[in-house]
Amino acid sequence: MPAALPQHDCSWCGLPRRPVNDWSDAVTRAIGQPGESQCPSAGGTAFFATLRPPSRRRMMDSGGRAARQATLLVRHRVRCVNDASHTGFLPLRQALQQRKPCHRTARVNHVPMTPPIEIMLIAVVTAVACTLPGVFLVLRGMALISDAITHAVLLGIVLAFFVVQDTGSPFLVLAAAASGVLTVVLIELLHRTRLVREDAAIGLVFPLLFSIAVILIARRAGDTHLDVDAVLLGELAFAPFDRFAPSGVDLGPQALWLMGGILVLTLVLLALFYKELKLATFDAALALALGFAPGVVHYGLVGIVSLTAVGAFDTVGSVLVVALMIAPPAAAYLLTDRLSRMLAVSAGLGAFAAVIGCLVAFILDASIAGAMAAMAGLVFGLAWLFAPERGLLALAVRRVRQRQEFAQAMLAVHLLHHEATPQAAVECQASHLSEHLRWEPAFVARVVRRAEQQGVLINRGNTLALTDHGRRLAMKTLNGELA
Amino acid sequence: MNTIQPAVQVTDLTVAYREKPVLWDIDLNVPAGVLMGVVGPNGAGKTTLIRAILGLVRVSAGQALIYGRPYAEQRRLVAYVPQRNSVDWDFPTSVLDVVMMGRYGALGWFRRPGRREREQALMALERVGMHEFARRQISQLSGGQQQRVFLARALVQDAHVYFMDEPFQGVDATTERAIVGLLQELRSAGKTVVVVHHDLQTVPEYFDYVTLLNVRVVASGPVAEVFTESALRATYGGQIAFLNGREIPGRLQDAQMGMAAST
Repeated sequence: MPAALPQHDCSWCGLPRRPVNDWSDAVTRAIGQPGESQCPSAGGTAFFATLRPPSRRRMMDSGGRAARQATLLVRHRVRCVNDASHTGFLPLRQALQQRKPCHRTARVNHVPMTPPIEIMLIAVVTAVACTLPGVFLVLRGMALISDAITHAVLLGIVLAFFVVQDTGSPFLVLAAAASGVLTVVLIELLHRTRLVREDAAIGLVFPLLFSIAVILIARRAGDTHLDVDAVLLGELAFAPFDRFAPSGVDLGPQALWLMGGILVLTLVLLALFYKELKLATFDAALALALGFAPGVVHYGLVGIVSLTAVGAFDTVGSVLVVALMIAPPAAAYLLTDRLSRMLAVSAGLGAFAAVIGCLVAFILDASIAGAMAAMAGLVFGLAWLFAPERGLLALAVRRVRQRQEFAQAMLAVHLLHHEATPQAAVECQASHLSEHLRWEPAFVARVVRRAEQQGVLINRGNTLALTDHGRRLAMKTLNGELA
Repeated sequence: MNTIQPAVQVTDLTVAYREKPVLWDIDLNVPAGVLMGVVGPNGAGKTTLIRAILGLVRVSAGQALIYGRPYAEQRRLVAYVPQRNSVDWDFPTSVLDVVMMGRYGALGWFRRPGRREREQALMALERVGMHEFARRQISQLSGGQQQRVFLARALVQDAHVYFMDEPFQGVDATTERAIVGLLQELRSAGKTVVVVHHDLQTVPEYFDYVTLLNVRVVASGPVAEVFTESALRATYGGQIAFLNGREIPGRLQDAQMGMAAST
């Protein structure tokens, strides 16, 4: 165990370093092959993870919990666990090519809860925090805006990071959220020139901001915390390693506090402005006429979406945040018919997707964020197919039933027309119906059988006769009461 | 309310979209306690006029006063019924909820609707004959029912001035009668009602005041005085079927069917 390591701040990122805890040896052993055992700048222990996680068996060999944590670590390709004051840094790609350690802060004291539970907690809180504003995005037809915001906040994160040099700073979170709002403003300005349509405006603005951010990261911030991969996909598995420990007391993972705070803020705002949000979403003109400033509500929502996107960045990344914001609300939309229930159901579905996603990821040893997003998509797919009233299946069943009912009504009208006429003998024969009405014989048989069961007609040896009930049905149909 | 002061007073109001005037220098007085129809051809700016009075579009010049003060200070006195298709009827909410939205203005920020609002909304629904639909999801309503829900939402506002944008659009004859009855009821109660209307034929029957609008105000006043063939010609550019029984249109074949379509 490397004892008595110097404790000082990283000169580049300014983050305090803490002594490596006792399982770091086990971690190092489990990962094996420390590419260079010395961190070039400070002499701490550094190791490379292989690009692929070590095999499950090997993890087991090197022992229980530490091994499990090691897998989590391994996923971050190159890591310097030890405390070191880096004077320089390398972009990730270069670091990989040169097999040199890329700097990443590891503020690991000890991990009190087992990471999987913490990871799940973070996942659930993140998912719920994403779905609530997502409901309003879906209802307002702003789903694409979430994509724009989640990408564009990266620029805010990078720029703010250059200023504060601390990824955990509340200032960084707020500045990045502001960049999300700015994105929407830019999109609306561009759209308002009427030279481009709204979808094109969205597609023009956010890739530009995002690409600037990507270039800046590549040029200036090789720190893995801001590497492009982590930005796109996040890495929930690492979330428990960044602890929230004011004055040395460990209070849990930082991500949990951040997302929890955002969730609480969202809930408070939702409770305060539920009525205003509902009105501005349903009927913006009335909201404006009643003096409710739907513009303020709009930008408030955009602000919350941005804040949530920033908070969820670390854990699920910018692409998958969109899945959590849109899929559960879209599913809930098919399952409910009240706004309040839609909010509750989306939150529930989001949490469900998070838990199941985590479990799947643990079992498959795959990306947690990916599994969560896939689950969210699956949940939507199930709702889309099987929603009791609005699902594809329910619609198909209803269409078949309507077709049958309409056919029955048509049959009744046909029989009424020819009732007591000389042609009745021909027109009202079950065996001739297929020819007269140009229906498939099988369909005729089905319709006649159903009509008979429901007392619309009686089949007197191949000749169909309407009952009183059938006659009323025919009259009603002709009066347009059925259509 | 002061009966001498007009309920709505519009002076020199001009609205333009990108330097193209939609409303030119509108001067309009709506006396308190009248039921006024606003008619004019497509693109005459009827909807824009109402939206400008309610501050929903930016005006380039002029102003609109409600009982002598700007609309922003008189919001409580005004109820607005937008066109039915201006909202998404698939929104997850109930009929009762939509009607209660009419009370939001009186509630102001933060306060939530409670039992009183619910009862008021139910009463308004009763007045428009939609009581039994209160718990219905709004997507299950027909066009006429949607219109009546919007009307109930305006009624629950308990305003002095009502602005309605085409309340008869896509509504069956029975519903139209019912709505007209309600509007006349409102007028009898001393309210002022301004209705954007499409059907010239029914103007004399439904309204006591009328404004003929085509970017400018062609004529405005009591129906008996201003609803004349010459004024209509001026409004619709000569191609109009005027059907009043007394006055026979000169060029029926040119009639804009949409304009003069009967109920």
